[in-house]
Amino acid sequence: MNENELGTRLARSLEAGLDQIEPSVLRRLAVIRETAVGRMRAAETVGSLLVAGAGGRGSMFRPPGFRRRMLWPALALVAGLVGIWYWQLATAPAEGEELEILFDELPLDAYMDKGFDQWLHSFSQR
Amino acid sequence: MIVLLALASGPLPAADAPAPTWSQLSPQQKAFLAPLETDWDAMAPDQRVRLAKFSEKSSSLPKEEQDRIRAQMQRWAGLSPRQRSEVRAHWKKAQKLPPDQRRELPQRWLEYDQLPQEKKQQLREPAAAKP
Repeated sequence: MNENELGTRLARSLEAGLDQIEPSVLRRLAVIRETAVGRMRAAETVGSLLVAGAGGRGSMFRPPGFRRRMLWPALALVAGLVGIWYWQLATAPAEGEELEILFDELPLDAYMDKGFDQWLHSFSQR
Repeated sequence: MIVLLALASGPLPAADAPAPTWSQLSPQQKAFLAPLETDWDAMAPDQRVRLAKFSEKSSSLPKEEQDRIRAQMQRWAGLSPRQRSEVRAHWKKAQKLPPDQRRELPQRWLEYDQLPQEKKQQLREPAAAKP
């Protein structure tokens, strides 16, 4: 698998299940994504300044073509990091629901009583 | 619940909007939110902002409603992380029910609550109740 294919596969796997993500998680992901892209751009700016400072043709430590060769691994790394953040957010308990649960018309005990769950199930089967 | 959430809602605070710590709450807010004191500083900032806002207006609610919400907070505070996770999961499941079934939930709970203890136990352990 070359780097292009790897990037495409990562992007596909990250997009899978996008429709099932809750709006609050999406908002948090958007902030994280913007932060990650901002950092990458800042790193690129520093990199291009270094290359420009070395006459635009690279230096002993940054040979010509360095940025191009590093682009896909860097993108794959960013995609991987976003994937990890996504996984952590998706599996973390969503604390944003607490308020809605506290104000719910049903007492909390109703949500913990397996008998009530079964009771509801019997109605749905009628 | 919609009215209550409307009272507690409002424009989402900016990411850097300060959420009040427990010590920053007024005596009136502390009195209403007392059951959440232990959890307060660990709660999500937007939750704290909304709850603090709600607690300011809580005195305009009927006393029964205030007591009901306080009882919910009290119960929540006493739950283990595992139990809270269970409540969240079942609450989410309930949100996915068709609107007419969701509206019936409080009535269904009242009916269930009035069942004989033996019947409730049967429902809790359906597999064990079968011969």
